[in-house]
Amino acid sequence: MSALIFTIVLGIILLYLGFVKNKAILAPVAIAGLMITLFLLFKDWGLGSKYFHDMIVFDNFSIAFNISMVIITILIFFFGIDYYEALEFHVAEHYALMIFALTGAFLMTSFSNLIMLFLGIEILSIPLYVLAGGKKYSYRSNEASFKYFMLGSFATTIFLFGVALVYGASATFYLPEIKIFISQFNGHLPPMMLVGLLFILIGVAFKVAVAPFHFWSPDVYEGAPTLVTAFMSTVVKTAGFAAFFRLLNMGLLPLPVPLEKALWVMTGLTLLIGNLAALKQTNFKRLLAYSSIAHSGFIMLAMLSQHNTSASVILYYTFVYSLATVPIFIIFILMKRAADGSEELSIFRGLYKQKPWIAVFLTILLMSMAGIPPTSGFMAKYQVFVLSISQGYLGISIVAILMAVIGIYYYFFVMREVFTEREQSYPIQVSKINAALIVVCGVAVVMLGIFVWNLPI
Amino acid sequence: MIPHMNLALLVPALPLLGFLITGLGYKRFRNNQAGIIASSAVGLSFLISLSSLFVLRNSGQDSATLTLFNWISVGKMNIPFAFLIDHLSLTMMLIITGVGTLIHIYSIGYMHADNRVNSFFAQMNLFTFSMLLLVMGANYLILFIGWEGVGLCSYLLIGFWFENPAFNYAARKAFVMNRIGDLGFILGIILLFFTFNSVSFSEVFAQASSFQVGAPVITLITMLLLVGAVGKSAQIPLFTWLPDAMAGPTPVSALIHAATMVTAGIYMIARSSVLYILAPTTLTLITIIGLATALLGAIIGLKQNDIKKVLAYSTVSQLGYMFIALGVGAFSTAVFHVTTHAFFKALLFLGAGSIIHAMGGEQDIRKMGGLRTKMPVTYWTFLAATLAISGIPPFSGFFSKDLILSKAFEHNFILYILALGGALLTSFYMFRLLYLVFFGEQRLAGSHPHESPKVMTIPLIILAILSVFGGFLNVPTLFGGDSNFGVFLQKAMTSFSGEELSHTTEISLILISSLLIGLVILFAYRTFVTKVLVPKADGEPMSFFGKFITNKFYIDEFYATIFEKPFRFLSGFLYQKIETTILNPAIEGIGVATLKLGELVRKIQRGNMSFYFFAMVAGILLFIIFILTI
Repeated sequence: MSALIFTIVLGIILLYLGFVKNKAILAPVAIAGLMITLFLLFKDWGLGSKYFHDMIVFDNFSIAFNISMVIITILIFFFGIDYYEALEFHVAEHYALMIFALTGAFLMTSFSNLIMLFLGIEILSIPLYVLAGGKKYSYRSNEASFKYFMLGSFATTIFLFGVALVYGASATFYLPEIKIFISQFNGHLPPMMLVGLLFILIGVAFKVAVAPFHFWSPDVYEGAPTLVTAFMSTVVKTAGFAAFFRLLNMGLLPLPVPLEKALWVMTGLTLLIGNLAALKQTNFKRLLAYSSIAHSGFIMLAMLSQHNTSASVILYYTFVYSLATVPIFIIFILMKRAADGSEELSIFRGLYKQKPWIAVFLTILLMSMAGIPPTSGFMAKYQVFVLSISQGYLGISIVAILMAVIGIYYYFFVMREVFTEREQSYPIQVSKINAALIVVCGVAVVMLGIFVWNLPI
Repeated sequence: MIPHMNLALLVPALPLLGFLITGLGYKRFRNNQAGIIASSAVGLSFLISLSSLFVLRNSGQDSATLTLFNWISVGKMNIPFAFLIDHLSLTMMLIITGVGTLIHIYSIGYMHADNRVNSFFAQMNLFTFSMLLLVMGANYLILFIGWEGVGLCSYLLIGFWFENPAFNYAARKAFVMNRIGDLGFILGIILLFFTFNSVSFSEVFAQASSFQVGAPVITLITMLLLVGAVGKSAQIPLFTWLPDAMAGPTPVSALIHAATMVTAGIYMIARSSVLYILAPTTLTLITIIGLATALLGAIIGLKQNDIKKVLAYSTVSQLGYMFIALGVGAFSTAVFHVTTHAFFKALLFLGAGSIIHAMGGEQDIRKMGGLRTKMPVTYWTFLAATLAISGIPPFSGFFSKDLILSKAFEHNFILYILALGGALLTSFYMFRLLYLVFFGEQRLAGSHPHESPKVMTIPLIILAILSVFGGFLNVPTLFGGDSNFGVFLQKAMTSFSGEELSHTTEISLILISSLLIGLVILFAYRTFVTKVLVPKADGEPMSFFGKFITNKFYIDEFYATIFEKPFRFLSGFLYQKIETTILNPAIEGIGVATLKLGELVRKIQRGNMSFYFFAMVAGILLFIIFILTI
């Protein structure tokens, strides 16, 4: 709890630091603050404290996910030092909004009550609507913001509708009580309850861009400022899946058969659409958006293979995925800057000649995304497949493995560009702190693949 | 756990380190730096091996297992990454690092003019490391890693001068031949695991005692392992790669023939002695293979004119003797012959290298001659090695070869006669070589042979001392010794304890063989020195048998017809009919179809928000219908 409160205060402090006309202090303050958050989170490990009539439970599950999200946010902020250098106004707001979104994410990992989940999703989403439109004079950024807001509010209403229906059927918002309620029916739920739960699941599925509710994500990812895109595809995604898992684990397991089937359909669609649509992309941000959808499919697979290691597998997957995604976005931003704002894949051409070290690390990161050993991306996918096959979902596992193979194609497409020579490659500039960040993430991605961990959460 | 035994971990670690340093920094080193680093890595390994020997002796224990980490742990398979230090592995370690060090030092001089000298030393160190892994591994899987590493390094080093296509071909041949053996070996390991649920030596051998002699599964395992050994130790029918392996630089030949690689098969069978004792059929087969190889190698050696080829066939033949020893169950004798052979064969090869170096790359013995006075050190050391390999008492080869012959005599009289015949042939072609190279007049006009530099001659001298006195490691009781070496090795493996020959029989055997060898040497002297007979030039007509032998029994051609041609035909057929007409279009079709599908999916996403709403609502409705109807 202290971590949550402290983070909110940190956001407010950052907001007011905007009055001080010194941008340089923002990132250090934000990072130092998040370090303290990290410490506070570690302190709560194993306590399982409950607050507000048990509406929030800070158990190990939520702390582990929170720690993972804070680490990724710190990485993004480190990069922000360089990124916001060029921005004149409202830098403080950017930091503050991300911190506020992070507090929403904290709620999403620790709720035990549907109201808290709703609050969490909204606290996470509203800053993001603003952040997506962070480039005030950019037409694309505004479009992204508007689309995200419209589609997001639609999803919110569906979610809220679902909550209302569930309350109408079961007269409770508490997940453990909902679980008891469901178990009374022995698998044959009343339609009102069933539809209500479906709407809740759809609301969450929208947040993590699961097909067919993924339509917003390529457009928003492309239009939003790249740093925000990085934040969305890592921290927001992690929070979404933590919430999704918690919802299932606390309230809905064992899943009513119709809902389980619906979720399997979504998983299959997500895997297919994410990977297939990415094949022909030429815009790098859209490519990453589809790749992010594809990864959602794999995480769904782990989530639906209900086993007591699922949580740990999802944590590992989201963490190593984020760890690879952030530096990829960083390299992309640097390339984009060098290429005068072009976002095409071809801007990577000749990178190896220009900056071999960056090219090598980019290759490692892409390999991790594609799931090639010995990177952690491989271990993540491997664990997912082991889990799903051991739970007997052979058919969908085969589909997923095939899709993982297809995925290799578009990641290698980027690699090919990196190692193809061009006469005048773009003069990419890498500051020391960014280079360090890329190297640290690259090494971590490999090391985590060699030393795989499993948390008992 | 024996204190200080962990030191032995450094034995393989140092060459690995040397490989990494010389390999990664191959652009940076100048002059002899890489050679010095590589040589000191192996040299230090030797010193540590030596101290490990004393540590083991003082501890009073027979073996020590060093576990590094738990390597593979899946299901019931549990394989630690562990080393086994016992008398057998220590013997091999000492040979590999000891002779290896001398070869490394020699190479500094031999390779100094080569512009890829740094890669050369990196590969030599990797070779040494792989071989150490092979002999030190505490289970068959680590042995196999080393086994494969040795195969890889031999490929790299045989093809070291890869600009020459023929050398490349030789490297490939060595690799392919070895792979055939490896296939048998790995099948053997799999069957071992299947039978014993373990691949570690200690567990397998402990369980093996519950099997009866001649149990079919043990016979099958030993046969499969034998296939591997036949490939690596160049026995019939997989021996043809070894003579071609001469394509590599001469120190590489010395390393392959003496200290590493070919001894791997002998080591593996000696290590598995517990299993082989249980499979008399396999042992008989080993004896037959060994005898045939020993004779074949010796006969082909009679007619070779390339100095390295002669030595190569002598290795094939000597390996045959080791196989005979293994086949009659005298495992420690085989390892003893490995040891003495390592000394004199390394010496022969390094001496040959020195000669080739002096002759400016000429390898044809018909063009040499009269080098005795020009290269005295090389001559005297080469002479020592020749005497040793011929089995003249009291040189090292005498003790080991004579032991093999007497074991053969115990076993079967015909075996003894044939083996003795092979030994006589050996001394003939070795002295033919010696006389043609060092005696008579110099036959190559315009060359000025000179003695090699000290960095090359000092290893020769050390090896010569070892070749002369190495036999005293294992003086039989006949000469008042106590067979130290054999007793030492007995702790690591089992052997048949056949009847001891009476001393009178033994003495008469020695007298007979020594007398015959002496006559052969005399005969060779009369042929090549007194009558100054030089083998015919390549184009001249020869007798049918002469041609047959000169062309190595046409075995290469035979293999080419029997195996290569059908395979070429098959691969051509598969490529033209299956690959290009069926597989390729099919696979490409899948790729194209996937891309088309991707294009289709992408088209749905057009950026039109009202369509997104439409799609989402449609999705929600469909899901509602789905869950309510299911």
